[in-house]
Amino acid sequence: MKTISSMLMTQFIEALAKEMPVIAPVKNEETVSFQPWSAGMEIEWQKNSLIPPKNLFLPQVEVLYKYQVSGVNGEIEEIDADDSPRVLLGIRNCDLHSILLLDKIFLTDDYIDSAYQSRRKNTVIIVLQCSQPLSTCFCTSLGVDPRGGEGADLVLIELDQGVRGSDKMMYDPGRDFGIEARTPKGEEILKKHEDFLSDLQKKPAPLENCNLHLDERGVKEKLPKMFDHSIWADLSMRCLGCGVCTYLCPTCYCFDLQGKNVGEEGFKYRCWDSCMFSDYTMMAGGHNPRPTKRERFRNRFLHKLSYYRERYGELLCTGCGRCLAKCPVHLDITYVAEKIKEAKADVREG
Amino acid sequence: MKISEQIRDYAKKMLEEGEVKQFIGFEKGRLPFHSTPVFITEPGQVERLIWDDYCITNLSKYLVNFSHEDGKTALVVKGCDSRGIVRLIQDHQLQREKLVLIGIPCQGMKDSLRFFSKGDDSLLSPGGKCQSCTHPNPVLYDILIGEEVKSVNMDRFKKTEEIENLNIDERYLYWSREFARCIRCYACRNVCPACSCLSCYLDQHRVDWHGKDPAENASYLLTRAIHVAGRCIECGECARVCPTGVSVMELNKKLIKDINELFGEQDAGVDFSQTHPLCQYHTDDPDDFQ
Repeated sequence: MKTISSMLMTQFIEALAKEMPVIAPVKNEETVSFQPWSAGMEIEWQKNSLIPPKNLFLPQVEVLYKYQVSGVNGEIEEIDADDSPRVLLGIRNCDLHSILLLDKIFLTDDYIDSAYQSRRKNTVIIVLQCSQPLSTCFCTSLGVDPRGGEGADLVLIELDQGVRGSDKMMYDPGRDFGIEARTPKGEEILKKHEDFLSDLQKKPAPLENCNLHLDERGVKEKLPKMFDHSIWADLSMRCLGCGVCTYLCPTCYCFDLQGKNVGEEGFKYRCWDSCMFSDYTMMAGGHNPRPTKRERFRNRFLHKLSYYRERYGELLCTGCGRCLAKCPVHLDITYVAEKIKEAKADVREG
Repeated sequence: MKISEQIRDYAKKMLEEGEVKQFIGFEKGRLPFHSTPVFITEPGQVERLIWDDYCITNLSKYLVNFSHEDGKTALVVKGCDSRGIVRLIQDHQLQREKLVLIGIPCQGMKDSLRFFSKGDDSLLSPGGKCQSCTHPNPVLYDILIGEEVKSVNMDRFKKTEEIENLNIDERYLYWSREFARCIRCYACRNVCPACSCLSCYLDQHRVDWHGKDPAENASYLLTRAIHVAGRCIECGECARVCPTGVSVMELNKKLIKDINELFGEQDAGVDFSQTHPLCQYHTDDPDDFQ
């Protein structure tokens, strides 16, 4: 394993940024999100970003086409997605797993989303391994290895510094990293920038376990019989019906198509949407098949815990803990799974 | 007797005697610093009710969901919850006779939502919204548990003045950075007791209407601030629930400060006799804008 010192890390990133844009976790006040990095910007190494990196592949807003009307004639101009190469630096394994889950939606089943695909194909991913989970983390319950790197081109490894900070929740900033290539693309980058690397032998930092778990044993068998269960009304009573959970979730991918007209011109755009919003299933004729919080809430958790698994064999959750940390009324997926397990339901073989 | 036990006793009695149909309070959530709203309908479930330093959520907005149902609802109210209820009654969203209010004077609550941003230390002091609270004691209640606390005399417009004193470019930059963080989750709207429209203008799905584009963040946040101007009860829930920490409450504070300066000191949701300053006029009202 090669190492890269904290002193040389900035220079390494500067060198990368000369070749192509580097997207890294940076702060605006207390909010960390992935932004194009430029010299002088401080990268947040300590904790995962609040805003997940999904917007790099599924932007919150994306113009699809523009149009111009003149009399009875019209012209349409398609807008291609920006497919210029870039580096996504400092994403965590939970979020990397979320991208692999999104790939199944946008790149399989006979449907290829070309905009998603071009952004995905042209992004070099440098994952940052975790060693100290937050109290809201439960990625290991979802089969995510915080030390892994599946899907990454390069892996940054936290090294054992020998001394831990007094505040156990925080990573020690300014430490050195180990760096390993996982793909030929990654090898190429390392080779090109070998001046920044050294052979200093250090052990990876010891891995601490997650304290929190998503225990979904039995949930799979129960859920198909629970569509009309009273649990959905009970659980959703507390829900505010806002979109915090869906917008901060790295795996929620629902979108809406909206338009803007200015005189004779206009454009159609794709934007994030949330199944928790009342207009999400509103039909043109005014009927809403999910008229209340109960139906919307049920849909969200059935999608996470049941529908996605039926189609792709996995849960639509990565254990990143953002919903746990930020739901205004603490209605997180671990809590919901626990309540489903506790609920008295008909679990006969169907 | 501890406050939690007193709450359970009242809840048990009210539910057993059928005085109320449900009792709204707090229960412990997933993590030690999670206290979360709970809706109790069975006397056997009252043990779930708790009272601790994390009962920060304003519960008043939930009542709107039950206002058309038969039977009474009981709930625990801090100063901010009670002001929300006064406001909602004044807006004809709730009926006082269908509510039983258990008032609890509040010392200021800790804000678990800041945990992800700041780590554990920020939980040691009361959350941001409580630091500028003017009414820690319930203004409306049927039963009071605990001793009334003294209101801390603080300058609640300190930050408002700091922003006012920026020059126009600095102020534009400040608000641009704030608005840029809004992800349009509408948590601020959904938690707000002054946002009581059954169908929000934002949920209308039409071309050229307000869309979900973050380019329209400023227009969303400013429009909402104007909608609740004069009715905002300063509970600060909008800013607390904002996942990206947009200073939503500073927009409301500015409007409150302006209203106070133009029409005299107002305190929304405190006194039933006080009418909404922007829903009436006097012939001597200032009209400098003309």
